[in-house]
Amino acid sequence: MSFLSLPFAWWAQLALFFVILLVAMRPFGLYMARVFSGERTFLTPLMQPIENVLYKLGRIDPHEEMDWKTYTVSVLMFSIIGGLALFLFLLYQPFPDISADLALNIAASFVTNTNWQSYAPETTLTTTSQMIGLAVQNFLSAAVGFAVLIAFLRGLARDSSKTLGNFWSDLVKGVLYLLLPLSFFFALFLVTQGVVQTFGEASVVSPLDPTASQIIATGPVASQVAIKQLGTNGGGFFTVNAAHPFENPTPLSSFFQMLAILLIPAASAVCFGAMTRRHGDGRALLWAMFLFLIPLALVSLMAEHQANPLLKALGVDPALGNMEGKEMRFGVFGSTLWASLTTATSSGSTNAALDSFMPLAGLIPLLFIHFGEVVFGGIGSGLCGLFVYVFLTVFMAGLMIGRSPEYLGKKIGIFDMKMVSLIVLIPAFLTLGGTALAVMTQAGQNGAGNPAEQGFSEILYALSSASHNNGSAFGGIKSNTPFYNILLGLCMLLGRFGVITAFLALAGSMAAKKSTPASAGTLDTTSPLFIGLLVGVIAIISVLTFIPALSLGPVAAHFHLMAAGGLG
Amino acid sequence: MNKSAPMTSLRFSPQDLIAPIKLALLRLSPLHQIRNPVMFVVYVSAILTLIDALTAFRNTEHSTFGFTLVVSLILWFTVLFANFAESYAEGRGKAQAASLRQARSDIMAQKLEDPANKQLYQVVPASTLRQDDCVYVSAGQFIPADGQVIEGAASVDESAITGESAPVIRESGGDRDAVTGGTRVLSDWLVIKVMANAGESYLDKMIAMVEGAKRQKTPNEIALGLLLAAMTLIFLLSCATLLPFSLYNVRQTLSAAPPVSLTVLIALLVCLAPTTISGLLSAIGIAGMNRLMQANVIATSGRAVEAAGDINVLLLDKTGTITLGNRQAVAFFAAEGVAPIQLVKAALLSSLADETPEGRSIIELARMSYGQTPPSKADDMIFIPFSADTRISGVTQGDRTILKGAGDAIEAHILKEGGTVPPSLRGQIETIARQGGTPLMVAQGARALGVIHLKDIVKKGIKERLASLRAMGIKSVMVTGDNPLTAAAIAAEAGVDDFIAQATPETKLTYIRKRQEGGEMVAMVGDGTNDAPALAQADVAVAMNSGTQAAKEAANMVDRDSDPTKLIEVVEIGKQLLMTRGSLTTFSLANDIAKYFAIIPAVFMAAYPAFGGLNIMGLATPHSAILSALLFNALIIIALIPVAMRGVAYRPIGAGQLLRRNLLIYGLGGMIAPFIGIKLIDMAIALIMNGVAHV
Repeated sequence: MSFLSLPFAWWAQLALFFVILLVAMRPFGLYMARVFSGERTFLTPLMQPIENVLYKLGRIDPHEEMDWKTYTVSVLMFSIIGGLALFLFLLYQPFPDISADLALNIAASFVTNTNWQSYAPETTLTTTSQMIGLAVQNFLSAAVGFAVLIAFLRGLARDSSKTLGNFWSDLVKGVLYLLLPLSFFFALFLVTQGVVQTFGEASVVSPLDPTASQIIATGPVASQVAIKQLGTNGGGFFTVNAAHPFENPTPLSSFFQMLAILLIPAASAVCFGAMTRRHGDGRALLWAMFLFLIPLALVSLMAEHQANPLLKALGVDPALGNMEGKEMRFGVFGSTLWASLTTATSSGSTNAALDSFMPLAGLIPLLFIHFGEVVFGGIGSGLCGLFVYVFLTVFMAGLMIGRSPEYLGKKIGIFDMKMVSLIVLIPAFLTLGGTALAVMTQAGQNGAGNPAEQGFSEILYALSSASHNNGSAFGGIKSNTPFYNILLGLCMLLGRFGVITAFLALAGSMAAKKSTPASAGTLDTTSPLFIGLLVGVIAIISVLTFIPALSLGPVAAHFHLMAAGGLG
Repeated sequence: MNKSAPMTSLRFSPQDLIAPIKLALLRLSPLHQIRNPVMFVVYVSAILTLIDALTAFRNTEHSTFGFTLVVSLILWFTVLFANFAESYAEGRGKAQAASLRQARSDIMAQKLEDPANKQLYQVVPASTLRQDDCVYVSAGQFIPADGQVIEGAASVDESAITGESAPVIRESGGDRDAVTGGTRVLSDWLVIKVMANAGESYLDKMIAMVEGAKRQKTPNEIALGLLLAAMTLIFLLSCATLLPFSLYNVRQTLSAAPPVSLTVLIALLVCLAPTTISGLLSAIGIAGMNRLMQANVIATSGRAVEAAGDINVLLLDKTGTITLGNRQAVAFFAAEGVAPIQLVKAALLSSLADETPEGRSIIELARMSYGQTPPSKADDMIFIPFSADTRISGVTQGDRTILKGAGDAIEAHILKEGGTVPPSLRGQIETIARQGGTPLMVAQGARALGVIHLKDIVKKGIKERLASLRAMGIKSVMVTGDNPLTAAAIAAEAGVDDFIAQATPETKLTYIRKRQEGGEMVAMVGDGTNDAPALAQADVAVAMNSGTQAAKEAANMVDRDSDPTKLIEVVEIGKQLLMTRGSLTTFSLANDIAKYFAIIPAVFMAAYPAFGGLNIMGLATPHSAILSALLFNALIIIALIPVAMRGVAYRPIGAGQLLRRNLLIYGLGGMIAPFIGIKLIDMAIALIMNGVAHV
């Protein structure tokens, strides 16, 4: 098993994918920096009037500067009200079979940009609730995440400032200048590929057996898929998410959806470089992210390239690799790369069944989540999370060169370390504590869809996904129960807003600091050495945290399978 | 490290260990342990496993009892080793502080019981003097402390402080009653009332900094402590949740293997928690202060020492620091129509009574370059002493008056007498000033004879020291009362990055504030009372021991050697402190990788034999693997005490190089060392177990 055994076509597609991404992210990043620095862009003539109307309606002064506390309160109030509205809306929608705990879970899921789905959307929700309820939160939760990032970047860029900008203005700009136009054009593209976009009735057709009938659900799918990918939401219109032919009909639509998932998170690093005038530091962060993404995606591809030894023993042709749970039109490559990308970012959309992946390939998505969703991560929140690891790294590296640790000339103090610790602790606590709670209770154990290690992996994955606001599911787990709906709902809410509060506190503390000019004794945060150290810190901290749990899940399953398949 | 280090032997002797060991045992009290959260976790773990062992003993589960007891013992030793590291460093620190006291008590004071009765005194060490004590000082003795003359008058040699060799008169009443500790009474006697506790407060503060229990932690240390506590919390989380995970796994797989035991979970937790750095953290801080004392510097706060590692700008006095205290005459330039020898003779005559180093250097130059020996003083010579007012000195002999002094002062005198200064001479004056020299004009009556070029002599080696500061990322700024032209020339010669010319206390203060507003950390070295405001404003302020009390009060460090370039050593000590903490933290975390490879297979092998594949060290049994990892974890604390005491060496090789070096040693080394260490311990354990089995 080596990298060289992978087919040439895979290498070519990988290369093409990353080249397009690298070319596209730069103009987007620079554009984002212009928008949020209040400069004019080509969209200003079109959007400014809409902006003004919104500000007037909300009685908002977009130039009023907020300190971190006001900013945080605004974020929380906005999200609570949005979540509450969504919850009530779902509870009283025309479809009858939605329980209160499910409505809570859905509301929490969409308001936190997680998009964990423990229900079948096409049979649980009306088109109206999908559009007015979920799609709106797809935009807003992504814009909230992005606003937090912008506030964080201002904290890094500003010198001795008490304020971080205006949340309402950042929110409105994120939707109007970024998400809405991108989604519009992306949805049009998706329609050309055959993604449906209709308000018409679902078709009722008779398949081969003329006495039976099948309802084929349709709806305004393209518009929702566009924002689900661009906003790293990941919640599908259909249960099977991007494996559904109406959501993701062609290899080309799959390819561009993968690009859409990574576009804004990657461009955010460029935006950071532009806003702080530290392009080198932006590039350094991109390097660190790619250093995780590409090798781990390759490992995952390698694991899936070989067929499942148990199926091979039954006489299944191993030539295509491990095809169990995958769509023929995406194949092993399109499914496996997708899984890496949507877990590296906090998208969580899926186009294949992760629990049918080889154990090692199933481990990779878990690892990506356990890295804290910082390898690109969610829109906004991912880069914020990466900064937390950067702070940890400069703290260690700064001490090692005999300087009080500093990043971009700002000293990392006691308060900052408290926030950094909190941000690392919260998701770890929710994931491990939640999993422990689930495996200790009958209600939790009942959720496992498979026996032994596989069942444990499913539970661990669900808690990891919710606590880190990823939203992807390992599959297999039966989570539409009051226990899981409430547990996962709480994990999503605490994982999102606990961490966001700490991010903004950190941003406020950074903004207030004075920036020290660099000297010969200053740590260079753009050097390969630093990038390597950052990668090491992320890997060590997350691996050390989760190894005991992972050992009993995918690692044990791997050994189990290898033993059963006669591979040692 | 420093030639002037106190003479106490720092060599190792078994006797030195007894007190620290006693203290380490005493500090097993929970009240002391709770101060360090990471070690407190180990402490609680030790108690829990002990209870576990005793329970097993009562239930006569002999195999469990043995293993658990050994685990518990290792944990107790881990705590003890950490305690020992602290108490050992503390013992060293106290010995050092005691030797400082000793050094100070070299000056003895004659303390008066009753200020009115000078005959009745008691000879006590100067260090025991308190404010308002009265002392009697007679000719030839040193003044033991800063104070106020309440009786008597005497000439006092204050050259140690002012550099001025001429004695000054100090007397009771009026404005000449202040005396400074360390100066010497030359004639007569004084009764002095002590104004301050003889710098004793400094020593007290310093001693407090080497006492583990009283030590104020620096912000960097608190931040690191927080990070270590957070990591421990995470590991606590991942170990604690392993129990339910394991129970679930056993029930689900219907495995015959028992779930993971509490003892094993505790062992895993203690191995993963950053105990190495946490156990040594206190010792590192104390050892830093020890090194500072060895460099003969007394600090009032650990914070200032660490801040020294961060400074960007260093303000240095020109005189005495960058240049030799005195200017020296290097050339004579005769005016048009004046024979050079005439100028030299006149200059010589005018300098006869000039006892300043400058005056002496003129006589020296005349002898060396022109072979002129100074004439002996004659009775008819009336010397005009130099005064700051006129800036002129000279001599009158008969109808002949020779004056020398600052260019503009002499010129004013000549104009008043009805003479003129030739333009060529004025050009010469400017040239000298531009070169950083001081032009001294010599005139006879209304006639300008020429100028003497007085030059600041830049100290040997200062350029290199400034260069090494620059390599550390510290810009040097020269502070001088000279005019900008002169200052620029000397600055260029000495290689400083910037200068403040015509400095006053206000300009110094403004300069420091401006730099600080730009985000820079400023250090300043000073000795005079007029330095005090700037010293108080600077982030790191070092006062010379020979400096005034005001300067010492304003500073946060006092250099007992009065060596202005000592700051370079202070910077190194500050950096070493941080580097030692950072490097050992990295080491501690890097160790975890090997420990996982030892413990994870040991924990899961019973249920999943394939985990044995991860046992890449080939450890004998699960129990021996766990014990080896734990034992390594405990012993590494002892093994690293020398590193904590010595500190990780700082080299001015640039941040990137330094990071690479330390990462290689403590990061990569930290990954590899435990693989070797754990394997060796495991082999030893296996050997012993075999031996036991054979018996």
